[in-house]
Amino acid sequence: MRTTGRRPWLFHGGMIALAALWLLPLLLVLVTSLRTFDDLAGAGLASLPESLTLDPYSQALGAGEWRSIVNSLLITVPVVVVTLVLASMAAYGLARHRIPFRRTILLLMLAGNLLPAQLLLIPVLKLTEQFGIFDSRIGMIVVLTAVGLGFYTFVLHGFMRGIPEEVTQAAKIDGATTFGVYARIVLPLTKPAMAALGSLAFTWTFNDLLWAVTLLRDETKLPVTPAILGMQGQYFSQWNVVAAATVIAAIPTVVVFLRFQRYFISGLLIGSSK
Amino acid sequence: MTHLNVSRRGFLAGVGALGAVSALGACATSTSSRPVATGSGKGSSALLLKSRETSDKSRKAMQALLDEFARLNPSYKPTLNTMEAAAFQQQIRADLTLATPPDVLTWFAGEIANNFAKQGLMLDAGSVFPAKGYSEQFTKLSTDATGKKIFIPTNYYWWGVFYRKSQFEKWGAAEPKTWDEFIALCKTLKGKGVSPLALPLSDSSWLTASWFDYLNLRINGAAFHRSLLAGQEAYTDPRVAKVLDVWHEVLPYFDPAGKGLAFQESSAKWQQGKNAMFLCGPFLADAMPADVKQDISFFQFPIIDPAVPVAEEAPLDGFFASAHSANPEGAKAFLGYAATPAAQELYLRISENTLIPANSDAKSPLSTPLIEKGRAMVAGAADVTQFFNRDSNDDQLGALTTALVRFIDKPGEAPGILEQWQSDSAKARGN
Repeated sequence: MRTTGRRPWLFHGGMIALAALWLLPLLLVLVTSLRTFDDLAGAGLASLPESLTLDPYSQALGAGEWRSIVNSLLITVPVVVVTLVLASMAAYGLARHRIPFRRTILLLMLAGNLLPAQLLLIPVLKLTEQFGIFDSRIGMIVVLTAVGLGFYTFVLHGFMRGIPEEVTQAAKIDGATTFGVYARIVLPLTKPAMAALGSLAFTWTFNDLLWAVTLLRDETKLPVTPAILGMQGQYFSQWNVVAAATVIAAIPTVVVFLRFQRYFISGLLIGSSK
Repeated sequence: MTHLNVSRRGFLAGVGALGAVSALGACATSTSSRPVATGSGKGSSALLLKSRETSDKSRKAMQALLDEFARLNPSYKPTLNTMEAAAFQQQIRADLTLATPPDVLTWFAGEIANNFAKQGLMLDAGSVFPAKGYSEQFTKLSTDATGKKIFIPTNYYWWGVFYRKSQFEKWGAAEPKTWDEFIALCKTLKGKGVSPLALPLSDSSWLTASWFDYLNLRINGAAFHRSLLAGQEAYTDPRVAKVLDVWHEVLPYFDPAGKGLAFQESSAKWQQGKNAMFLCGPFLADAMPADVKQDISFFQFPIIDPAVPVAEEAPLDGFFASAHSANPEGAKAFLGYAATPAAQELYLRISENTLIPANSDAKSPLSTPLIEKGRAMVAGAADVTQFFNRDSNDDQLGALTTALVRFIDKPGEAPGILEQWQSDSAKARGN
């Protein structure tokens, strides 16, 4: 490999430019969230701030963002936990047992995932109404779990097939039950994939807007995404407050991502060496 | 070999999944009309008002309206549920077919309301519709095709060319009455280095409809406008081509930066005097400081053909009740209350919106010269239209914005654009 003195500089320069381009909108949101509305309205978005203030944050939280973040977490955490438990069980069963039509089942789950969600909105709305879970957080949890399950099962299935058969067989010879093998052998080995999927599931569920505006009606039950939407007026929005609310809403997902970052990167390599 | 095998299986599985999902969907929709016992114990005293007024003051005003209604009718327990306007619009069709729909909803007069009425989704409010107080036009707008009163108008606003009095004084400009005066004014302003007309397109391309509506009303009259929107006339009609021709005359006077500006940015530019005039509704100044609100005025869209009876756009807002309401008596009682001058004054006093109460017996609680000027203009009009998407629907508005944004870009291609518009419009109507 030939390394001239200029190449790395070109590479780094390009990357710095790209990174700046990537970060610029985020920075704009952050700065906007710290300005006063009169400053914004008078000078426009693309101007230097006169002064910085934390008022938009207290305004956003005062407008009920606390409640909506709690709602979001009340929906997201059960969805992530239940999804991972169910998906890992299903994946283990499909990957390691001779279940009739196992491949069809798997593809069926994946096919369901490939349907655009918009197609399912009305049928699911009517179904939840029939089951009496329309306009409730339980309904959101059930639907969001069901919607994601196929994809997570598919990914975990691929990962679990990579676990050497000898390991599970050895456990069985030592007298472990099927569930024992799942809980003691397969689950610990699947941890990186689970952590990666968990953080993905958290982000997707937390940031979901489509299902929330379809299945929820009561203002007091709305998660944070439609709540931020509700802060916008029909013609005019308090840009600074909306920006502050957005920054606040991003915190939980950022925390989860930072916490599981290590797993996330190794999890992305799932199946790459096959 | 195996690869082929998988894809065949995959295909079969996919077909199976599609079938299963559509079967589920069919089953769910086919049973939806059956009443279900899932309601959250909603007694006949509960009353849910779903509103799309998200601004802080409008929210308070809506709550005040409900509180006052509950004070006058202690047997009802109304609650307010507010949803952002776009989501509200997206949800409303599903809402109206729920087993327990909201009892009363905010909405606007026009074609979409008529459509809901046609589908039997709106409660007959004839028993509480006041015999007097509403103008003949507003009464007509509240009546469906079968003659049922289905809508209670509460307030309306108007459209005009808004300007700042202090800026006009500075530039020595006067309100133009005719199209020629208007063009002359644009020319003068441009000569002074001011961009004469604001039209933000980045998030508000629907504003192009205001220009189309007014030009069409001024050139071809309200009757042609209505039949065009109803699909009885084609956009390839030479009369529509004339509208674009006339519009072409002022296109050079629009702010060239407008294409990339959001509504809020453009209104800020107008506020700073960088854009002189803005064809808009009074909501333009909603978020502006009080001293600016004192300083704004508007003039009537200039007359182009004096032979055409003058029509104005006066979008009418109000309430209607869901036909499947669990509490139709309560819903009607609320509609009856909302129709009273007292209720309409109460709402406007707290919301501080620049709107005119629809009941002509109601006074504007925060009367300003601006509001009175708007009221007089609408009252003096020979005909009143709503707005493009209210007089047709949102799909038609989509066809319009596609066509007109293209026209602003390439005015020379008008004939092709009109043909495309006609085909888009027909397609949208077919759905």
